[in-house]
Amino acid sequence: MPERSISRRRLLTGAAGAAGLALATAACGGVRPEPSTGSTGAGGKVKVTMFAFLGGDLGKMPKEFAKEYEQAHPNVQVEIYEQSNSVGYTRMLAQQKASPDQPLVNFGFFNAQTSVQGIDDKMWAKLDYSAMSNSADIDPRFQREDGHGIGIGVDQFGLVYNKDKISKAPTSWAALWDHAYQGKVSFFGFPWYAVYMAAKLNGGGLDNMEPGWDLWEREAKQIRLLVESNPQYLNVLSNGTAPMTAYFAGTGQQWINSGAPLTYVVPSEGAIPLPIYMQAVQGSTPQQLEVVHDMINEMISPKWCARWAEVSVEAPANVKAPLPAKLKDLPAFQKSTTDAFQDIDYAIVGRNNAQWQKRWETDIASRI
Amino acid sequence: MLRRHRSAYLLAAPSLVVLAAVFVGAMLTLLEYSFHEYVPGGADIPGTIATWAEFLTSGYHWGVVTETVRLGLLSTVVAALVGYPTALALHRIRRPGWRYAGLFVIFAPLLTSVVARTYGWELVLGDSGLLNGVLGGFGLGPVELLYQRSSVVIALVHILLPFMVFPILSSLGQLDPALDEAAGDLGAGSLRRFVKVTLPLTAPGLLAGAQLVFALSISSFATPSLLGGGRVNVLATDIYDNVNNVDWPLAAVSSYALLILAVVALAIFGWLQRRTARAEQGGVTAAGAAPRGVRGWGVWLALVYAFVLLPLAIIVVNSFSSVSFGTWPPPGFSTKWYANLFEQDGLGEAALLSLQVALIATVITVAIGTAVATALVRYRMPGRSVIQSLVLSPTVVPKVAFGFAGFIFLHRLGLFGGTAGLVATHVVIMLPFVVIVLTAALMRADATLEAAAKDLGAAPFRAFRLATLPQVRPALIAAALFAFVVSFDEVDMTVFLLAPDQSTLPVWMFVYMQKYQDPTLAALSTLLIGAALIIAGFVALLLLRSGILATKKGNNE
Repeated sequence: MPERSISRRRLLTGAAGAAGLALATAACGGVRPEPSTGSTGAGGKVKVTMFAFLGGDLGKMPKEFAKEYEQAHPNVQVEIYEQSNSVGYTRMLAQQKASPDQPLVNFGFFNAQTSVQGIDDKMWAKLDYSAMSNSADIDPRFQREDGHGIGIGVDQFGLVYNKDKISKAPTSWAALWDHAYQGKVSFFGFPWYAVYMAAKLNGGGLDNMEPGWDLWEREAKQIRLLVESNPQYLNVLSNGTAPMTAYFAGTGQQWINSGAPLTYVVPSEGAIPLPIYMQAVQGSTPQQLEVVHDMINEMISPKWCARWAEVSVEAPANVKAPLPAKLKDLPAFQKSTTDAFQDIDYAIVGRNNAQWQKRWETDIASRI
Repeated sequence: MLRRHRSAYLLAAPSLVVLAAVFVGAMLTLLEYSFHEYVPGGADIPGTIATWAEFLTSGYHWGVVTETVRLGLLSTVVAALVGYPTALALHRIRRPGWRYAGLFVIFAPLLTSVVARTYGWELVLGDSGLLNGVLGGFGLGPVELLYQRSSVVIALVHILLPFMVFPILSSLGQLDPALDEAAGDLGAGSLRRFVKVTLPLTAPGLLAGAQLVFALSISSFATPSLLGGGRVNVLATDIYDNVNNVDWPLAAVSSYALLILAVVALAIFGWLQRRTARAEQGGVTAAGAAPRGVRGWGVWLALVYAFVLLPLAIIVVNSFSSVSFGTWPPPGFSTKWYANLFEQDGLGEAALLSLQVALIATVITVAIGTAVATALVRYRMPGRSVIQSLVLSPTVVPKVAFGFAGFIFLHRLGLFGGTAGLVATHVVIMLPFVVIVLTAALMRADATLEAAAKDLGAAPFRAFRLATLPQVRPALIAAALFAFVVSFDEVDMTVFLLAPDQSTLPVWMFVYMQKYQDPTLAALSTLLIGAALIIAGFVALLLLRSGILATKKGNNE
């Protein structure tokens, strides 16, 4: 297709010229701004919508980046859509079914599970790593051979507990089903990682989760409640209703920073890494994809990767990105922690997630 | 036949057009999905009954259906047991100003968002909450109420109480006092008069309230989801899980299971209402008696007011908390959450869009709802029960499912992302509230007055406006208020229907809640409660100056 051969430089300079012309004409009072719909924004700009995570300060870096990018590229208009991966991806999928040529968003942040799900749903456009100068600096563990996304950061699952309510600090994943903590455990929705670790410590693994299911069926009474939102999570952990859980180190640290009496523990068996990928979305116009490629390349640069790590409390995926000073001393960011990460095949997690979730609801959640 | 029933069909037509164009279209989309099968890994097989078979043969799903019915029945019974005496007590208040103040208190929970209310209940019912603190002071407890079915029922009764009280109050207001007096003159005691006269004659209001509470309970999502702690698995939460799990066919089947459940319930309530209706046998033909005074009912009202206001008071206090997480009592006090609120982007635009949608949708809904309610009560046209079921059916479809179906359907219509689509979907979910409240009121309104006006030469609309409308005025105001609040507080459905660059106030709150965990939303709720108090005070002043309150009293005398 001829449009695809438009180079980024030609597109950006050409569109900048058009934008300049439009601006000059508008200054003379001859042009009314168009409504920002579809792929064209106000004043004929290329409009792209970025998906950003909801929660804590996760929207800060995308907004800061968008502002700077718009200033440097006056022909580009960036909208930000903040939503959780689960709700946001459902809407993206519904939009894909209804209007495949008008995706809800053009690119954005997606966790490893959603990224795998998106491959099956043909949601993602392949990224051309050879045209992205910063891609070579991304830790090879967070590059993808199929070009479906590229890593920007990596969060991790470990144990979070209330240090005022629990005198004996948990050290192992097995604490989740230790009867000393019976009725004190909470989870957010379906915690596949808790089932996985129960399986792993009892002779199974991602390809054989049965030992994990058996254990949680027996030990469902360990769980005081399943929460539905982050504020509820923070409340039940902080006020002692259910003072222990397994959750993201990043979110846990943000809660700790806000004054909650919580502590994050890296379990002795290793934390579970959760890579965060930047993905481009199929159905975007060639112009949008050109811009998206350029924006993703900028976002995975050392500068922006480090900023993402700082606001999300994650390890940066770019090996040249400096680790923010305030994260350096945290247990989650020690080399020993990242070296000892559990080896997770997210292709298995992504493909089984729906089935596992159903089983969790029918076999475990119904017994708590 | 069509010619004979033309007036009835014309009155019902606007509502039917809106429902057919928006609700039926969206639900047909959902029906189509129910005959798909989702295979993990992205495959979607159309034209199969596999998902229906999976649902109908699964013990888990039958358990979810049972829990849904149990929660609906419990909430309805408790709401009726609390709501009927409350309506009776409010009806007995002599001073109209106090009666309206009482009504406002009962209505108050609807002025706060579900997010804020839930937060309040967590602080009251939690292990280290207010209730257990009080019990501990007496050497009792702690009791585990939170994250159990009991906390869900308490919170549902709290929010649904107005839906029970207002229709009963409306029936009490239309009660012919001569009948009660006649029974007294014939020697019946107060209990006998209540059982034989008051209760049967107010049964339409009680049933209308029960119908609303049951329908809203079984389709409620946020309360069981947030206060059930994962233990209260009902169809609405099941649908939400399946939508997020991308198993849309199963979500569609669960939605239809809920719809069938609701249609059965509506049929039962409809049958009971027909059995108890007395509209055809003469309505209010005598002037009402003066209210008898509250007397011993004051204690009951005080308890109900405390129950209704407690979580709201907790929200107000917590908005001044010095810490970001919810704990009771707050360790210190600060106004920083109010300062933080006014620094937020997009709040003003979201509030404006919410007001715009709620106002337009309320005007449309009250107009077309009054028309269809009149058709349903005053005419016996063929297809009446079908029309009634269709009009009421949006109540029982979970907002999550309708929002999801509406999202796809609005895309097909090219209305996604605009205000028109939002207003249309809001009209659909508000319509049943207006129709239920007005139907109960119209059943008790005296049709002979309108007939007399027509006999004297008034055109049908003029006769309705002059003879019937004044009789149902309180119900009309209540219906408009319900409709406005339902729209203004709607989040479960609207979250699916907004384009990325749009937001309404409750969706803004919902999004904020997922970003930050601090009492900023409690501060916003406090301001909304304050604004509602100012508006209520202003309205009360207008009513007093216009003499409406005095007129009401005069009529009763």
